[in-house]
Amino acid sequence: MRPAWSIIVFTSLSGLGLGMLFWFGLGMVVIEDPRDLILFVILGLSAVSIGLMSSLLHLGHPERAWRALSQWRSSWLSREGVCAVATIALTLVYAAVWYLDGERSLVLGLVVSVLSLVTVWTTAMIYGSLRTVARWYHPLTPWVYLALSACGGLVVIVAWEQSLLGESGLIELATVALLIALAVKAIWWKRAGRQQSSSTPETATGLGSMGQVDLLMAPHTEENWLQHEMGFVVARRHVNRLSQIAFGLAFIVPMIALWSGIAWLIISLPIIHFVGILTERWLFFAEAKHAVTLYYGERH
Amino acid sequence: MTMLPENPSAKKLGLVIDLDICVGCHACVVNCKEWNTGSEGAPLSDVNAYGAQQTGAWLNRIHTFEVTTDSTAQVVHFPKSCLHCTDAPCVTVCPTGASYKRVEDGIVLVNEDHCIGCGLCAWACPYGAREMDPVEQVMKKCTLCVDRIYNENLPEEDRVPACVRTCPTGARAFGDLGDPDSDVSQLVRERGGFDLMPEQQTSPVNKYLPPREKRHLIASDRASTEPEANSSKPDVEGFWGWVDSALAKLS
Ligand code: SF4
Ligand code: SF4
Ligand code: SF4
Repeated sequence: MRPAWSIIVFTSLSGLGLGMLFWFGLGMVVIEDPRDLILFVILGLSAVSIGLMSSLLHLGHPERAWRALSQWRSSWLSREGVCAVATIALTLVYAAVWYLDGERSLVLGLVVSVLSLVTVWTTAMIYGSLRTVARWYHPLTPWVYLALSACGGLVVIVAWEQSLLGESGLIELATVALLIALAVKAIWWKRAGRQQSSSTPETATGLGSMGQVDLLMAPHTEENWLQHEMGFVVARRHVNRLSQIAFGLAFIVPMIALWSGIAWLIISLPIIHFVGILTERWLFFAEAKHAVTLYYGERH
Repeated sequence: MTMLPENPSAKKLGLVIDLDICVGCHACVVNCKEWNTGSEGAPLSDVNAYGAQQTGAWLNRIHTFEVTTDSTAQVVHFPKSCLHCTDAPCVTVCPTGASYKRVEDGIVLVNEDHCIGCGLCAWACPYGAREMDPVEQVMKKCTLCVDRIYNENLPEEDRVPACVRTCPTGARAFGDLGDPDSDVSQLVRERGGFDLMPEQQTSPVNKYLPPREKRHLIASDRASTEPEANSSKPDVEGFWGWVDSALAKLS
């Protein structure tokens, strides 16, 4: 599949923001005064909403985007929209009540946390529910998104506490979260990567009983929209190098650097981690093979 | 509404495409484009139509495949358009309700005024039956010529999809595949019609009929003609010698 930047930024940035809101809802972030509260909410919500805005760029008709909130009964994309809007709204309520009362509401916090996780799940299922892409159509796909989002949120919060207090009590937890995310992603890469589509040029044409089926002539001389969108092959050559970069920056470097005690390094970890996640997400799309390419001479 | 109809009617309109007959002339493709560019929705646009790297939205495409075994090879022309699937994944993924399946006859359509051009329905379709219009930025797909088949302003014989009406070889049949006694259903039964990619669990309505076995493809026939073709040296020189050897290579 073509790795469109709008979609990559959407899934990774809103994933990071939702991870921050998840821990924030659980009350795991040190908030010392109302100013901290406002600042953290702005940080988290901008990550989520810049991500969402970016997904709008991908649309042919962004002005009609509100319609996408209507089909939550059947469509994961619609559910994603509804959940994201609900999470943003509830976060604002949670923060406002906290600001006015001077005290955190446990119940509202829990609602924000749960909604954040559900939103990440719905984002993942936009892709995880597509039978046409064997690699995505795997039960682990949403868990990868959840694990990445949760560890990303913690990395940001550790950096936040480091810059506010000069230390963070969440280093152990963040390390464990990074380790879990690394493991889940590595298992996904192995399992989902090996997930062979049962579709072939033979099943696509129904001519398998007659012999091996190969494309002799494409329907048109130039690339069409389908091939442009779903026939992306460039990345596959660089997969090994890119996956090393993704794993290194997203997990390994943060895990080591968290324990280094070097303040500036810990504070810049969110950026390092995020570059790793962007690379991971780029590969998520670029490596995916769509069933339609079987009609255009590919064999998966 | 992108839920699939809860109580769909038994009627399932669709096409039966005979791979034994299709000669890959693309006439159905051209007539499809012509009819649908002038129908209700936005025109089917082309970009840079006369230059290099032209692109455009088409609702029907003809692929040509080569089917080989150890000793045989056969060319099969393969028309492909929306199969109006019973369990259409393109419909359920649509976030806006723009994609829908008609209750009364199972035709899958896009309401272009509601479509946000997200492209997800095309990602969900395994067959490549949906294309984004490069100018309008809305999703385009086969409508089964819903504006012809019920159109009482047209003469009776024109009330079939444009591709069916135009096919010079009669490779395309249109009818109600939900009715076991319809002509198309009988044709499917007689000829062993099949679904494309049944493993994708879309339950397509459109069916394909397999090419009939070709006599010259039977391996023993082939073996007896092969050495002859290979050993043929022109006994005539010059132009006719070249024609002779060229023909020998072709046959
Ligand atoms: S062929 Fe594709 S576009 Fe048509 S109904 Fe089936 S899944 Fe949808
Ligand atoms: S491109 Fe249009 S029809 Fe397709 S899923 Fe998006 S909104 Fe629905
Ligand atoms: S018009 Fe008929 S013969 Fe020509 S490509 Fe279409 S289906 Fe095949």
